[in-house]
Amino acid sequence: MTTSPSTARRLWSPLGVALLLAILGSGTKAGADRGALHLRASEAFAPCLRPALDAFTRESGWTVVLDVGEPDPPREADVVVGDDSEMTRLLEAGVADLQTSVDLGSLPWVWVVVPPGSPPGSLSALAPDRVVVLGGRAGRGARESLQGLAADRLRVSRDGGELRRARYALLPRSLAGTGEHRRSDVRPLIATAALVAGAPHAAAARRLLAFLQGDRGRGLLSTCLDAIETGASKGGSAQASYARSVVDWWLPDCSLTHDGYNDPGQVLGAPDAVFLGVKDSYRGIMSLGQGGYVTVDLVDTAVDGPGPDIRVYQVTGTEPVTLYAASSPQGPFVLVGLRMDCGTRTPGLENYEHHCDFDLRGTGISEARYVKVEDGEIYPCLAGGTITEGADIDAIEILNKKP
Amino acid sequence: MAGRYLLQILPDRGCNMPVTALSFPMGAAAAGTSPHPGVQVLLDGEPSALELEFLAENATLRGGLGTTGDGALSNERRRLWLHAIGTGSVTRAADGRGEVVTGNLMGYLALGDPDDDEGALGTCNSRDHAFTLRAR
Repeated sequence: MTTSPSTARRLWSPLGVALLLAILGSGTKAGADRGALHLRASEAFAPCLRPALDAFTRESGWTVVLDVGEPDPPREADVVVGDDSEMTRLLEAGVADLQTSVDLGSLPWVWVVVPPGSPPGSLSALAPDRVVVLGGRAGRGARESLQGLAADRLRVSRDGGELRRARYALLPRSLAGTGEHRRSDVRPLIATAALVAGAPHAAAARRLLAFLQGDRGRGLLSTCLDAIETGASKGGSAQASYARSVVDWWLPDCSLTHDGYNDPGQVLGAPDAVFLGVKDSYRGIMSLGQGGYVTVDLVDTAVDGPGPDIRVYQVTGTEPVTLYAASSPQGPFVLVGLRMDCGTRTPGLENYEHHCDFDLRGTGISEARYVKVEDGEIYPCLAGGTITEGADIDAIEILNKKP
Repeated sequence: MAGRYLLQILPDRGCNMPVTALSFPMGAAAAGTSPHPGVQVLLDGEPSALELEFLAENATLRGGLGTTGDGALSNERRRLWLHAIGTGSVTRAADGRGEVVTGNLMGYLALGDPDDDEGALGTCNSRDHAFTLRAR
């Protein structure tokens, strides 16, 4: 991938420089960059990490240089911290080590309103100023929530100072300045940390990751990050019903050539994906490539019941998935969910096993035996660089089964 | 479908985007036959920046249109970020090749000026974007 001018411009934001200087100035090995541990974190998480990194420095003697910016590429970092949306390609490509990845917490989005007490609701329409929103991959969901707002009413920024000064803004809580903060329903960011493959200070980096996962680290992070909400434990019961046969599938020729997991049969049955501990090495998944799909026969019938009705299990990151459903293998297939982020953590399964849930309600059909699962990442195959391009499907489960 | 094409992306009007259409010079070629025949359509000069991978069957194209994190620069000097599924009937162009004159596009698009951040001029998820892929 090439680096765009805007990407290059972002590499050293004022916030980044300030934090770097702050961290350098507070360590017991202050100024001793040689031998220092380098951590690269996106703008939203950097303020959350700072107290924990300071504590680690005091307790371990290791200076930690905090480099602020998108974790991909990690540059000279030993450890990267980013949202799912920023980490997926790093982890799948083996640039960061999936086996060491750990979730640190979630970070909600808030509306910042200055002055406090301004009318609630439709803030973007009512605000006299531009609405400021975070740029970069981590801000994509927030920007989507502002769709329809005229371009001259929108300001996209990754400058920490500008974000904190904004009178009307939609920001991760960690970047919100003064004024009234109102909880937004934009999907919270998930802070995931991982060791960079080939890190020059791997042993110290592992020690830092252990510190961040330990009671002391978690306690310090908890002042800024919330506990991660996992999906309801509705799935995976003893009576669970999973896809039983493949009806149809397609992967673009480019994806068939470059990807390593093209067997549609791997989506059948209960979740069984395994990361084998080596870059790009899995068992039990089908990668959907650029816009590929697999259509399955559930044999049992999913019905519109309480809560979501169908669950798709997807491995690593939050690659979006589109789901269609039908009562016959020939269709017509009805759209159930378009490009749904598929990154909800699944209780009781490995850290890399995620899922997304779909509800038949409002689709015009009340039951379905056949479902088509389509890649929603839709990333150019030729630019891919991994053998797991597209959403990586492990299993499809009926959550509400027709008796 | 093969040869030179002009791709037009038309954001859903409900998105309130500052442009009505963005166009890109593309090249198309057949791509694979199994499990279904496909067509690959790539941006001239920077093929991996904007890639279309279609299943081509029954006079219909259906598949993913995607850009990288850097987006793709249009003929109108606007940058587009795109992750969407396109569907369109193939009709015969004047020179006998296939083309799509009315295609539906479902998914994500974002706009910016050439050096902007993604979405600086707006972001929109919709089932009602449109595209055309005309022979040139």
